[in-house]
Amino acid sequence: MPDESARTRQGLRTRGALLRAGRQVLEQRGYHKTRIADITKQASTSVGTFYLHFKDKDELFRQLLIAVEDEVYGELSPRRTEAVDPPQRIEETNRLYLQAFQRNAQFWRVIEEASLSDPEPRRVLDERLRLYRSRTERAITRWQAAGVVDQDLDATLAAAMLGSMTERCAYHWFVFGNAPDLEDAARHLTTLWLDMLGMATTA
Amino acid sequence: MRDSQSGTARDALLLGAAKVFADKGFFGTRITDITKQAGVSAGSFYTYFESKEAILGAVMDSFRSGDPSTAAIAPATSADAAEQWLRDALTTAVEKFADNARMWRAVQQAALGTDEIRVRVRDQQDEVVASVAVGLAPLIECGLARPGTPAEFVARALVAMTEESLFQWYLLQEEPVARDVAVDRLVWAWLRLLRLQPAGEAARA
Repeated sequence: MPDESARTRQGLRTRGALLRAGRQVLEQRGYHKTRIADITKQASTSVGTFYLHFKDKDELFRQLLIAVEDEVYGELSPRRTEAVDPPQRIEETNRLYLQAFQRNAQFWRVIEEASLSDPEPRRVLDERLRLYRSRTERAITRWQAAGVVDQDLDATLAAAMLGSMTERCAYHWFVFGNAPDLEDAARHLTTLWLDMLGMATTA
Repeated sequence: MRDSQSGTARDALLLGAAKVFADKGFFGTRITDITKQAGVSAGSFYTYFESKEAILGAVMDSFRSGDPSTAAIAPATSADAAEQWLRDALTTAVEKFADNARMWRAVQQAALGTDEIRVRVRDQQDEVVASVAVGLAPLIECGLARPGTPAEFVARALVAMTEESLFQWYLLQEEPVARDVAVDRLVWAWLRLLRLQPAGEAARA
């Protein structure tokens, strides 16, 4: 329960400092090995002050999770993309996704680590995954209606396989290391998307 | 240290660790959970392993030594033979994952939360990708498969897609996907990404 002091301007500054410090320490030490004392030391404040702003480590983590996750998936929100042809749109989306993932790779690792044991981050990730999958599926269905993708293609399955491929590639590259050139990666991934959708040979 | 008695204790620790890691996850496991499960004294753990990370590494190695995938080279004879080869290889992969899904989760947890295991898992991923590229090479050389991206890239993408799909089907979903359905889906996707026409569609094209 934040008391009055947490709402003052000084309070907001301290809260911001704790969030920044929390992110740094989590990225360094990982989710399970981070202790509140590590965060307050990094933020040059006290453990008592921490509890004025956050109930526990999980609450601070949740605040960071929502911010980072919004950035990575927010990049993919549709813009004036209806006029763009499918290959261009796919490549643009893949590039934006990889860029956002790479920028936040260290924190993404923390999110994944937490979500393998804790239901709350898992729930947030699952929700986002469903949203993203269904968006891909709707795009495929539109292309089927427009006659550029085979009517017989299972749009749900294709969307799921493409999503799995793209997300796990980003994970191998940016969380585990050995990232390829980002432009090359986006281009090659797009070729594979077109292969899966059966659009590659029509060009 | 090398007599059969200590061999037995070490094996018991490995078996116990595999079970406890699967049940409790890497960070939820304490060393005393492992020794208790193995039926050995708490102090004897450090005779064999210096840390929780070390015993996880040894468990990972013991899982790999039973891995029959070393002879997985595709036959460059026909599209049918290639598809059958893919189906067999993916059936093995699905079964292995489904049988060991909770252990896989513990390893991933440790890989994300500790540098030591992360390096080990990354090396394993790279080995798997390289062996898939080698296995597929005959199909590409003879023109049965004509992937539109470099062999190493498509191999990485196939491995990544398979791993993430299996993770969702056997760890995240409440109702796991039937194994034959999982194999069908994966074969379908692999054929498309490799531009290897399934036998049924070859006539139509």
